[in-house]
Amino acid sequence: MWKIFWRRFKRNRLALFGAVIILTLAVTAIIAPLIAPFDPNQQDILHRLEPPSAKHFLGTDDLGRDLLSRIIYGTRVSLLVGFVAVGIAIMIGTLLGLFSGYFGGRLDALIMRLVDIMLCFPTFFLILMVIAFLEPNIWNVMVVIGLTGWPGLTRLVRGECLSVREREFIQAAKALGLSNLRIMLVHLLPNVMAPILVAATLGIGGAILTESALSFLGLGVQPPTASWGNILTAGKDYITMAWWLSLYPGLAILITVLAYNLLGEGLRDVLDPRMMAE
Amino acid sequence: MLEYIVRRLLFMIPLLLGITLITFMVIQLSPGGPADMLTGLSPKVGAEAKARLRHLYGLDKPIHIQYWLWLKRVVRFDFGESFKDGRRVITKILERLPATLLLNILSLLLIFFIALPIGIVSAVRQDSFFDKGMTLFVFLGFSVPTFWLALLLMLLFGVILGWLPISGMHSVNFLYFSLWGKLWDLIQHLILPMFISAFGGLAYLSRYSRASMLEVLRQDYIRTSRAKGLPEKKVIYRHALRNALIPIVTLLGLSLPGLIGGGFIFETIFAWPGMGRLGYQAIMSRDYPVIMGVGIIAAFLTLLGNLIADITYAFVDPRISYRQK
Amino acid sequence: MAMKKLLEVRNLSVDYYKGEKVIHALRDASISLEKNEVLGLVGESGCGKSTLALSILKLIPEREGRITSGEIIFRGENLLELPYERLLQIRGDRISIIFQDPFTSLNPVFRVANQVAESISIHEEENISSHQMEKVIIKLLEMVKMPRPEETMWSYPHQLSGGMQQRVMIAIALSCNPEILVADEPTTALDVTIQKEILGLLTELREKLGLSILLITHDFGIVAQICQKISVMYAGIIVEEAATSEIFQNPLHPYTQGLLQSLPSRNEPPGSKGHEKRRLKAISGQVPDPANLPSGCKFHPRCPIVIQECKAKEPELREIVGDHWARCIRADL
Repeated sequence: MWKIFWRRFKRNRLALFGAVIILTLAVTAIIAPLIAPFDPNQQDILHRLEPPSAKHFLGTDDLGRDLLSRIIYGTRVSLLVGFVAVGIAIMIGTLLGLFSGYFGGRLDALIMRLVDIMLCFPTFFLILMVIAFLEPNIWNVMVVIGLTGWPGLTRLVRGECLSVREREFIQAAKALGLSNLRIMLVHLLPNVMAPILVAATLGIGGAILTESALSFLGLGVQPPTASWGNILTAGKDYITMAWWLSLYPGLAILITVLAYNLLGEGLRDVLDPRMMAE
Repeated sequence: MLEYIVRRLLFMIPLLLGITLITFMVIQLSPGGPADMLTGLSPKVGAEAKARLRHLYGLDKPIHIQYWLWLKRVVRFDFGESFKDGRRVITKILERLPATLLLNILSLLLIFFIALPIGIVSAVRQDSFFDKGMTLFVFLGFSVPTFWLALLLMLLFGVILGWLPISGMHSVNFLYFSLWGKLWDLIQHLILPMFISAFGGLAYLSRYSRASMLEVLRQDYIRTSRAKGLPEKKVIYRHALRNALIPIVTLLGLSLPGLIGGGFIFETIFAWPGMGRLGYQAIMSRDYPVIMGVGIIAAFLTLLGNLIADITYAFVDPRISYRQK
Repeated sequence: MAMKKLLEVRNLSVDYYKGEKVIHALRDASISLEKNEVLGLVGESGCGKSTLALSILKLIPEREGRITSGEIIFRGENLLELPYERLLQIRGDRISIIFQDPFTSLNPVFRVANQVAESISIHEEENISSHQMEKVIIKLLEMVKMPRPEETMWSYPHQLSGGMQQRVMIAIALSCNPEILVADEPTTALDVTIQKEILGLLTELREKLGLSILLITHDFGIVAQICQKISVMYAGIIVEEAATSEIFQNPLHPYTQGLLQSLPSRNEPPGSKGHEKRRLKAISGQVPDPANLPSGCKFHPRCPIVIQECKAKEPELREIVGDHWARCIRADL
């Protein structure tokens, strides 16, 4: 079955495009020290706020640091946050969703009520609130984004479970006397994987957007660590003097998130069960 | 129909309780404890003074009593006083709420009047140039960080071209303008924030209306209306649209929380004097009572948006309201 | 035999597009409907009969399929070449169609009265006052035996039962007194008891209004009840055509024979071919994939009397006996 997906995946141009970009970014993040022309934290006050030149391809920021290098290192932050935050959300969301969808009844009602309540708070504000109580740093940001992301996923997983639960092979497994846990993990889970995968991919894009927004507001990754968001803070402050500080980090975010969105949408088409009939 | 509304309202109550409970728990977790939250005293105050305060505010009572007391205050919208300037939190919020609501409602209207036609036309002319172009646009819309877009637009329209103001709701000499002048000034200040606020919603709603319209166009009753000899235009605008709008209008009500949430960012960027900016400033200065107040009000508005969405849905879909019969 | 042919479908071919695949849903299909006649178009699911029905009024969306060749002659005009405005005039007014599932075929947000009124006002030149329209609608609903028309006309479709919904559909279809009613599996979604009622209603209306009906179905029992003539379709083409009694007494094409043999009916006409009371025989094999049709005669893989020639060339439709046609080189007797 996975072979079919792989074949279709290769034919789907959207997904391929997205995947290629993401791979490039991942590689960039890993070999950052090798390709960055400068040390991203190295200040050079004499050359602050310089426009793009042969020496500094994208210019320098308010402390004379090379923008290109900072953006390259920023890739690490973004990808890390994306994966960890979504990873947390998936683990919690899938677990709760499975339990909710499989057992139904009062457990289901309770979990869904909790989900409803969590969804009442404007997500971003919730994150802001919590960060305000804690210290803003990359780890807290990742955890908080993850913790605000699970409700949506729970609903999704639960919905999928509800439709799969009634299918025969689940009944068969029950009749065979398999333990509930085993049924959930081994039989139910693989069948609900597809939408989870799609949601996860799209979620990474969302997490990156959120993290950059937080960093922009000063509540995310703190300088001197370079995050695309916190570079844009300087961009705002020096908007009249240094347009490059506003343009390039934002472009980086745009391209990255776009790649994830394309990949996610592409995956959605590839994994669509309706197309299995081909 | 009335029955339906009442049921929805009753349904809201446990949610409200849950919201207050969660907020209460968050207060308990804040560094320094609830005493600091309520009184704003620095931890350097002596132990005896703290003990007196605890007793004064009933903080030595068991936790569920504390919750009950706090709940009673919240129901009356009494969120205490701000740490920054000692004014009542609710007053500060009410001062800012109109600005936020103005912006959000206008954004919603903008979204509706632009995204809806785009979505509908995309669906009717599926796979055309227009459709594919719009799809591309939507993808970009989903991927772009709105605050960055705000910066770029500020750069373009505010700094480079100098056409529009980039901060605040009024110009400095606002009071000296005539009525028309005031209106024009307001509009000028509204344009950029409104566009940014609407941007994310635009992408989403146009995608959603396209999907909804496509779904409707596949239905059998559309085929029936053609079989009757109805010209295609009428098929779309009378039969299809009416059905496609049902989920879309409910979505509008549900978009409200998204707009409020996004408000924290762009209100700050544009120095728009709304609730979002208040919340952000409160967070930066750790003004806990204000943070709590804004949070609860925001959650409450979200619930309200959901309720409006549900009621609208019952209104436009005869299958719902008549189920009671 | 100067029977006036009211509607003639000649050599109609329709292709569907599914992704990259082209599906030949109809290949050179021809039927003819005469005035005041009930023609049954019979075949299994997927054989193309609904496609034919939809093609008459050009109701197949362009994205899904295209009519690649053929003519449909109605009153001397080729419906497939009519300008759009002319087609709109014919739809609902001269030729009407009702569909299989009445629930999904009615718009859920409009009341029944509005939906019936719409079809009238589309084709009516003068303005009709709402008071008059109400009376017209009530009369129509009475005609289709709708219980308590004055009340039910104000209902929404979901408030009505399946049988009532189908009556509404019929009322809409007949509101402008068309000459032809195309009924695509009108009773398949309904209970058996309601089926009988609807079929009876259709027969009655045919007599009263001088209607001609093209009845599409997979159920031989239904055609036996109300059709005078039957066309049997297989893999997008007509394989046999004759009067109803002829088909039942003397089916010539192996497919028709197979279909009749597999009927569990206890009321098969005496002396019919292959009539065996106790055993249920099914036709071996499966309906061919329309995207991947076999060579020669499309039925040959499943045919009990297949010979080598059958695989080579698809047979012509031959008149074997008077007005009884079959598409089989071995059909005789």
